[in-house]
Amino acid sequence: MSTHVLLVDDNELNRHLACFLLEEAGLRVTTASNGPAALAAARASRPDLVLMDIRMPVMDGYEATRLLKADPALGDVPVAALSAHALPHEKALALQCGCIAHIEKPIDVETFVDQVRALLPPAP
Amino acid sequence: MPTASTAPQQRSLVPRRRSLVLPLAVLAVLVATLGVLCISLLSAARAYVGGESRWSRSQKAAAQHLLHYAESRQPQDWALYRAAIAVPLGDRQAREELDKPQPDLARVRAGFLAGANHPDDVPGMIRLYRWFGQMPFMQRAIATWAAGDVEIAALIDTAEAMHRAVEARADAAALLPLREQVRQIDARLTPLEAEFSATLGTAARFAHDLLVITVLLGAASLAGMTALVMQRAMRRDLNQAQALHDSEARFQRAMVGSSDGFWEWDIGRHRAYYSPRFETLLGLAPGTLPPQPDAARALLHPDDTAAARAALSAHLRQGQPYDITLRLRGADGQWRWVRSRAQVQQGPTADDLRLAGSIVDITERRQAELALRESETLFRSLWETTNDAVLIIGLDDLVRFANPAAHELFGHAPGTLQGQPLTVVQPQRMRAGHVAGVARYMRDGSRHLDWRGTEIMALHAQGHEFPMEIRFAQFELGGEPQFVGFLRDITQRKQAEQALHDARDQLEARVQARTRELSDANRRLLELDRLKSQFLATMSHELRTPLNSILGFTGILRRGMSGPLNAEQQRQLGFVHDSGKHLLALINDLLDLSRIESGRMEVARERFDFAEVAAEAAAQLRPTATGKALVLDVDVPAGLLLLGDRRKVYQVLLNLLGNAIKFTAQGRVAVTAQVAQAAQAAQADAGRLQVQVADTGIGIAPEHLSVLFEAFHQVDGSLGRNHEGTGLGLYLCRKLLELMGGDIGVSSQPGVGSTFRFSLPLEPVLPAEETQR
Repeated sequence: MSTHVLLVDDNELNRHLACFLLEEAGLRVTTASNGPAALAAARASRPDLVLMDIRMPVMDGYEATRLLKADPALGDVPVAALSAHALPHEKALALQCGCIAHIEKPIDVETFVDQVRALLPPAP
Repeated sequence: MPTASTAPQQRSLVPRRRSLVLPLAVLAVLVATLGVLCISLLSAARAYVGGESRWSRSQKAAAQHLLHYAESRQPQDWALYRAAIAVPLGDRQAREELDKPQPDLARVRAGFLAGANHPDDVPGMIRLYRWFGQMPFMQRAIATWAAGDVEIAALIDTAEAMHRAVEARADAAALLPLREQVRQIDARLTPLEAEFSATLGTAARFAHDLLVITVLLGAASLAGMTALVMQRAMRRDLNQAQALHDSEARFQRAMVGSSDGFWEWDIGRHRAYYSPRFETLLGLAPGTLPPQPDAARALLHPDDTAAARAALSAHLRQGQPYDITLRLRGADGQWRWVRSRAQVQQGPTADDLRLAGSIVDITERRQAELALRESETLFRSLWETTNDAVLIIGLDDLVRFANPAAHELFGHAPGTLQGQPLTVVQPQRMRAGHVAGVARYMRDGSRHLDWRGTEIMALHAQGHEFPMEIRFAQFELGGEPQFVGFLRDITQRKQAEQALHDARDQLEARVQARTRELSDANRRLLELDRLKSQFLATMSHELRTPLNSILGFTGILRRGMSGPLNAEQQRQLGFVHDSGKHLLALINDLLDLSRIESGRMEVARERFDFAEVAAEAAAQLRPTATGKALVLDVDVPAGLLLLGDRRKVYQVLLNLLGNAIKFTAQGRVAVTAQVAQAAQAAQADAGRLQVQVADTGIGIAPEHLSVLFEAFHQVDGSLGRNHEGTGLGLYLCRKLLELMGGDIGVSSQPGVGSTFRFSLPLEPVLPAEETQR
């Protein structure tokens, strides 16, 4: 079974770009457009990595990450922020909420997949 | 000076003499009168004795002549008889006349003269008879005399009978009875004569005895009286002498013991006496001054002469006391102040006029008085001219003294405050506190007011109150505690203080208002800042989101992941990609600037080697340089260790290097670095890292060099179209370097090239940090 990445982003173009690149690289990608949806998707199908946008309607990425981390079944799933919030305090806040990394948007097409792969937990 | 005592003594001399002499004189006159009276009585008695003798003899002779006549019958015998019988008859006439109540003294005198008495004896005989006629011894004599006169009358009758018989030639026998009768009468008369003589002798002896006794008594009285008077006079003189002696002794003792010098001026005789003390007082040896009034007058100070003369004149003429202060020149030539007193004394005689006086040296007292007066004048002038009001209050709360300034201060007429109660200047409501304070002070000496100055309210004469400052002290005057207060109207000061206070309040209010405004402004600014930051964050986010699509999908396209592209497509997509990158760089620069200017840019402290940073930056830009056929040289020695923000140093170097490549058409771009030791060896740091980025580019005009590191300045706007840039790069470099304690500069020559230099402090590497590495 291929590596499963849950991509959370409210912007359809962004989801499209990232999905394209990750799927081109052979990763299985599911998407959600807001926090609650992301939580539901993760519970429905446990991902290997969550790429979490921060600025979203309904529930922002910080809150979604905290809830995800608070879920006993999903607490150990790594979450990486994928955000246009490039300011240091925004990055720091993401790490505080449980993210293991922060990938800045706009993404670098040439290095994005490598960045994601580096965040994946080692295969069991 | 014993002045008043001698004059009455002199005045009492005349009555004393009168009292001495008068009794003696009266006594002497009395004795003399008695003597004269007794002698007169005695002589009168003797005259009676003589008269009786003649009477007896004449009566005897008459009887004999009558007997003769009877025998001889001769007329001459009759005549003899008649002459002899006239004597007893004269005496009889005088006696009978004297026995009458109103005797005819002429008849009496004629009778006595007929009785052959001496005319000089007659008045005494009359007095004796009249005065002493009733006395027993005279009574007996007169009775005898009267009895004799009866016999004589019988004799005369017999004689007449005989004479008639003779005339009638009677015979002798006829005459014999008559002759017998005569002899019988004579015989009866003889014892009567003897008795008469005896009684008269008794009277004469009585008179004699009386005389002797009287004279003896008078003499004894006179002698006793004289002795008494003399004794009294002598005793008085003795007392007087003793008193005089005592007085003299006292005077001498007084003169010796007294500090007074005495003088006496005998005006009538123009003589003077000066006591030894008078002379020693002036520093003269005793006995130096001649006994003349001028001797002292010559020593008198010229300025005092007139006053002394006037005082003397007033004393002599109007009886005013002579008591003046004057100056006398001492032996040493110094003037001595003396008090001179004198009293004029009138002697018993009109020209015995003396002036007695004393002087006492008051030079020291005078000097003390002068000093006191000067002090008094000084303090009075202070008292009267000071602007400070001065009040002196006794324990009874009465104003003892108040100076003119005090009257002015409280609005009272000059001189009216003295003796007034303190309440005239003290508001009623301050009364209780004042009384309690004074009582407390008198009890234990504690002051509830600060004596150095306390502000209290005072009462003005017009009824209003005003603030004043009082300083006070306590002292004793005549054993009574007094409080002296120095007062000052501080209305103006209070007003000034109030004004100052108000101004301060206003200022404070304004400051508070301004502070509030500033605070509000600050809050608004903070809010604005927050809004700006939020805006920037939002903008950053919102710009990045489309850029993510632009850069992402052009990247996918350029990599041919969506199908092959021709060269032109590839080139055009490159433009899109570069524009997106530039836009992203612009956004990043703006975010950095915003953070620096709001103070939110943090500086990391990490250890790194500048050589690595330089190599990294060169590697990043080498493709660009190579693309422009430029030589990119990096000459940085390894081991240039820095402790700081690696990313920012990289950012600065990348920026400078990028600019150099951008503005250089051909030639080379070189990065060099070295350590410059600090100019001052004392500095503890390890020196500075000096980095140069040199190019052979277009250079910069000198007029642009000064604004090169300012925000949004890009040299030569016309060139900007060919050389894309945000205009923020160099400004951001300067700001980042300043954040890290570094600086930046440039030198350039247009057409030749530019050299940018920056320096950073090299942090000393500690062993601990070395080992961590």
